[in-house]
Amino acid sequence: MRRRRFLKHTLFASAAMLGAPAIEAKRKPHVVVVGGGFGGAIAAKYLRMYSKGQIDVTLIEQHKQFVSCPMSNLVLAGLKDIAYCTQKYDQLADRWGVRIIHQRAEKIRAAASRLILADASEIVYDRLVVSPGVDLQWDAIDGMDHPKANDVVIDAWQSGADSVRLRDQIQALKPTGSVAISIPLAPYRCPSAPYERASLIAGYLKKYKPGAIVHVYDANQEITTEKDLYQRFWQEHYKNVLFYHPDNTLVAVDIEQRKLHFEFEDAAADVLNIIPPMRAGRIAIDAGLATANDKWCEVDFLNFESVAHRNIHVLGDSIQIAPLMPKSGHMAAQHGRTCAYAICDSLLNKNNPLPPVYANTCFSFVSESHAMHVASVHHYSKENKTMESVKGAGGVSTSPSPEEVPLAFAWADAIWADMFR
Amino acid sequence: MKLMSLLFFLQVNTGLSQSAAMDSAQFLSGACISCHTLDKAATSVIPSLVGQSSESILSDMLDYASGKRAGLLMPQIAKGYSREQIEAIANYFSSLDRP
Repeated sequence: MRRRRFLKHTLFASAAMLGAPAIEAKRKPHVVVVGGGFGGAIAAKYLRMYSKGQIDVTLIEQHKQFVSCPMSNLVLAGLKDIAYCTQKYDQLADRWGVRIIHQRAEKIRAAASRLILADASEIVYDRLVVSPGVDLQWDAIDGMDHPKANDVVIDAWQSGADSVRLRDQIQALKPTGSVAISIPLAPYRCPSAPYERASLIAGYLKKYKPGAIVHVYDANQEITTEKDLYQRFWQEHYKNVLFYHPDNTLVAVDIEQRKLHFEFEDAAADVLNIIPPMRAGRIAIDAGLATANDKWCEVDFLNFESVAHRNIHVLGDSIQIAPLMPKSGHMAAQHGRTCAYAICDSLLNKNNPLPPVYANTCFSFVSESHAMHVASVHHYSKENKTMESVKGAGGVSTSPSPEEVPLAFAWADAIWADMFR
Repeated sequence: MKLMSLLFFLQVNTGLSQSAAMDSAQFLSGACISCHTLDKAATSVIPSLVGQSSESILSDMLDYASGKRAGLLMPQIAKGYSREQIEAIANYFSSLDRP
């Protein structure tokens, strides 16, 4: 059985690996993409598009459906159903010809150019694109080994099912209840999202649970993005609902007592939304790709090739970011497109690829009716070999406004269409 | 002056009909597609750029970049692009679905 699977997968694999003469050059190059999120889905689709079908692409994604983290804070506040954030993979296969295997990728054998899947089958690649998102470091917080920890503490930072569970906990809150949100030190996935989440939960409590409150414990010394906009809006709208505590690093949690222990103080709450410290996805860590502090993967920004392994590319939240480059879904999509373009250029022997230009926009809701954004444009600097944000471009909203609400929804529709259709 | 810039623009337009140049323009324009959907039929408050005339995309972007035209977001984005990049992007979108 295992042998049959192996043979099946090697049909896509390198003829050279099977000992065929090098002269048999008609085989298409094979790129395997691990992870079907913003980075991986875009990379898979654009590899097919840019190569005009001249590159075979296999996408390894353990989930049958994609659930977007961006926009999922709306689910927590009961403003959207999780179905709104959910997308299907079928058009990537049917329209773009991406072969999709819904399995967990277990291990990379870089020396043999092979990827090992959960069922122990192996896939041979010419290029591997690793876009595994983040690995949540629960071992950094004492007490999370309690058998009930996963029932009591919810991160809702990478799973749609968790967003629904956290929403249910918030909706079941007693009128005088409290929610605690713990934010890790930057860099973490989606800089604005914890503050957006706090805002939307505060808006929900104000409307449906008067007397209930939300405490935000931030390991950072201040709000990490759009600080003035958040502070002003919170002061005007959530004065007695949302309480912000900077410089509070979570060290332990008491699951039985529902208590959080910070470096300098303790706090109890009914709902514990802990966003733990994070690092590159596990498969990237295990493969030795996390060359920056064993946490993040350093890459060449022209093609996203790992500095540790040739022919392995890393995208999205797992990379060691360039200065002022957020770990955002929008940014990961741009990584995916750049990587696809550079791989096509390299495998199909075209010209030197154009240096990338990124435009990033992150929308955040501060209430049901008001949204805002942070935008930036990034160019590649040959001199410094990194992406640099263009001075004078980019910026934030003047203030949150109703006008930006439809823009945020239009952004989500467009980027999900770009990923999957 | 207007005629000069139009002539220059048409030259760029012709140059981009070559496939290699088109590939780079397609790549450069990828950053726009995350917000401006390629689906012309979609009802979106962020307009699809597919099939819009290159002249109107170019003049809108230059006006956003110079501050002549106001907007919630596009002035911040437009300032990050050179005129040549904007021309390539404008030509790419207009070429996608000619009327």
